[in-house]
Amino acid sequence: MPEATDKVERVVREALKIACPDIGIVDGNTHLASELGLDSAQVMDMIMEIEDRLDISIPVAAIAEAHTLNDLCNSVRRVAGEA
Amino acid sequence: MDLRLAVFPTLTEALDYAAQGQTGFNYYNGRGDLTTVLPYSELRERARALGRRLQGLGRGARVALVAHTHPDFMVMFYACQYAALVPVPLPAAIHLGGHEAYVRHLRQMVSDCKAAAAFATSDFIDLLREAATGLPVQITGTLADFDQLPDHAQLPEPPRADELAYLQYTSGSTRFPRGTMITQASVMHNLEAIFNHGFRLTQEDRFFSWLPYYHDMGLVGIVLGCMATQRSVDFLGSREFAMRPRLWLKLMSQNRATISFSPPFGYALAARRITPKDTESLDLSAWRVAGVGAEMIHPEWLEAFATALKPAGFKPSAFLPSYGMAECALAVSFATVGAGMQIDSVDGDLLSDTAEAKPYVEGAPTRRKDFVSCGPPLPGFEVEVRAEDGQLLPERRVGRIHLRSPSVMNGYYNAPEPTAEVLSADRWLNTGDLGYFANGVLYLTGRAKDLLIINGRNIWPQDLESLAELQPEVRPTDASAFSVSGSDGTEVAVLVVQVRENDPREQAELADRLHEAISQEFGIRCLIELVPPHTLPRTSSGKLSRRGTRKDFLDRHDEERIREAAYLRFLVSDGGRRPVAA
Repeated sequence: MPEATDKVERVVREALKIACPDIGIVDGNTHLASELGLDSAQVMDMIMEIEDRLDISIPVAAIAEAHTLNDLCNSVRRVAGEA
Repeated sequence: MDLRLAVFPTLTEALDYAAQGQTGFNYYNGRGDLTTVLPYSELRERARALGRRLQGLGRGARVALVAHTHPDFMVMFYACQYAALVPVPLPAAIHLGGHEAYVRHLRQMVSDCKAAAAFATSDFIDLLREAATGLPVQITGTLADFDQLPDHAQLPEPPRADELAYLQYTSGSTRFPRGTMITQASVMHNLEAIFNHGFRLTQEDRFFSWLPYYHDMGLVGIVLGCMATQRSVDFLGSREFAMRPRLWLKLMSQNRATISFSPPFGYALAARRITPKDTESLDLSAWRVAGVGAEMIHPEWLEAFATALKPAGFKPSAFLPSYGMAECALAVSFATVGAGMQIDSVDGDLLSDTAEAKPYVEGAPTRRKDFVSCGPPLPGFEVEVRAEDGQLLPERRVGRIHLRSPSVMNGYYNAPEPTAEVLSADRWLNTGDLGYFANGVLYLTGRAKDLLIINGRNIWPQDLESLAELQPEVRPTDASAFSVSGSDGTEVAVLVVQVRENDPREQAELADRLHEAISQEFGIRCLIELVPPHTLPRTSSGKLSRRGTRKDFLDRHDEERIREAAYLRFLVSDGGRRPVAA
C-alpha cells in the first residue's frame, strides 16, 4: 500500500475518534451512520477534522456517497488527489 | 438614503429601492474569508437581465431552486421575481451516504410544484439532474445554463400584490410535501410588521446569518427581510457553520454585526465549542438582537451561551424569543426587544392534570414548569387559544393556537384537503401548536400535531414509519414514531416496530437497516424498539395511536433506561412493562 493512502486512512480514523471519542475498533466496512450511530453533528465534526488535517475541502457529493469508513477514505482520497 | 422598513407592495419594488443604496450581501467561506460581495444594486441589475431570459417559462410558472447559500441563488430568486415567476427554494442538505434519499426527496418536490425549470449551483447540479430525470421540467441547470436562454427585449409586467411571491416546502413531510403559497401582499405584510413592531431597525443595523435559505427564518427573515429594509448581511453557509460554529461569533465580532437569529440548538452548538481563549479575542458588544425561534426554547441552552460569551461582551438581554411558521410567511410574535428571556413559572402538576397554567408559588409541593414568553402577537394578527371542541379559552388555559392575518398563506400548493385541514373558510389557521396567553403575552407549551422537531428541523412521524414499512418483514401499520425528551432537553426520535421475527440476529439486522435508512434520510439517531405483534395501541376506529404508543413506551422504560438506550442500537421488548433484553 502506498504511503499516501495510509495517511488518508489514518487521518479519517483520527477524525472519527475525535468526533466520537468512545468508539471502539472500527472495521473498514462498518456503516458509519447505522452501525456506529453517528448523527449529523458528529459527521460534521469528523469532516471538519479531515478537512483541517489534510487542508482540503470535501464537497457535499462526496459525503452523499459515503456509507462505510472505506467509502469515506476513497472519497477523501479522490478529493485530495491521492486516488 | 432614507431607511424604508419593508413598506413596499411587492418584492421587486423593495429591491428597486434597495438598489439605490450601498448595502447588500457578503459571502464568507469556511475559513472566514470574504469570497463574494453582492450589493443590492448589482443584484437588481443581474436579476433583471436574467429575468428577461426566464420570462419565456410563462407568468406564474414554478422554478425550483436548490437553496445553497450562494450568490447565484440570490440572482435566480430575484430574477424569478422580475420575470413574475414563482421561485421554490428546495433543501440543500445531504446526510452521510444520503445520495438516494436526497434525490428522492428533491424529486418529490420538483414534481409536486410542477416546476417548469430547476436550478442548482455546481455542488448540487448532478443530484438535481438525477432528481428531475423524466419529469416535465423544461430546463435544469446552473446559472450559466440559464444565461444561455434567449433574451427578450423587455421584462413582463412586475408581479402584482395578489400574485405568489414563492412556494415554501418547510411544512410538509418528505413523502407528502406541502408547499405553502405566499403572495407578495402576505410576505410584505409580515415583513412590515416584523421590522417595525417586532424589532425596529436603524441605519446602523447589520445582520449576520448562517440560516439555510430553504428555511423560513433564513429565506423570509434574511434573504427577503434584509433586502426589504436595505440592511447588509454577512452570510456563512449552514454546513460551514455546523462544522465551525465559532466562525459565527468571529465574523460577528469582526464586522460589528448587530442582529443574528438562530434556533436554540445553534446557540447550544456554539456554546459547546467556545473556549475561554476564543472569547478573549471576541467583541460581541454590538450584538443587540440575538433572535431565537423555530423550535421550543430551552432557557438553559441560551443561558449556557450567555455565560460562555459574557467575557466577550454578549448581553443576555439581547435574546429575542419569537414564534412563527412558514404558513404565515414567518413570524406571529416577538418578545420585548432588550428584555431578554422572560420566564413564566407555572404549577406543572396542575398543568398536566387540568391544562391550567397557574403561576407557581415558591415552596409549593408541586412541580415547577418554566415557559418562555414569545411576546404579544404582531399588529394585524388575531390570535386565539381554543379548546379541542373549538371553544375560546380564557387566559392561562392551554389550548390550540389559531390565528388570522393578512400574512397567512393562500393554502398548500395543489393540495385542497391538507389545506382544508389547517385553514378554515373564514381564513383562520390552525397552527397545531399548544400554548396559553398570560397578560396578553403568548407562551408556547407543546404541539397538538404529531411532529418531531430535531435540531430545528421538522420531521413527520409518517416518514419514519414509512421507512420501517418499506422493510420486507414489517407490515403496514406495524410502526409508530414519536419523540421523547432526552437528558439535555433535546427531542429524541423513537420508532416502535412490531416484528414477528424472534431470531436475535435477524432482529439486529432489521435494526441496522432501519438505522441506515433513517440516517440517510434525516441524519438523526433514532431509538428503535422491536415489540411483538398486537403491542401498538389503536384508537376506537382502529387507527394507530402515536400518543398511546408513546405513553406505553414511557411506561415500559424508565427515564434512565431511555437515556442509556439512546446509545444502544435498539431495544427488544415483550410489550409489557419491563424490557426483557437489549
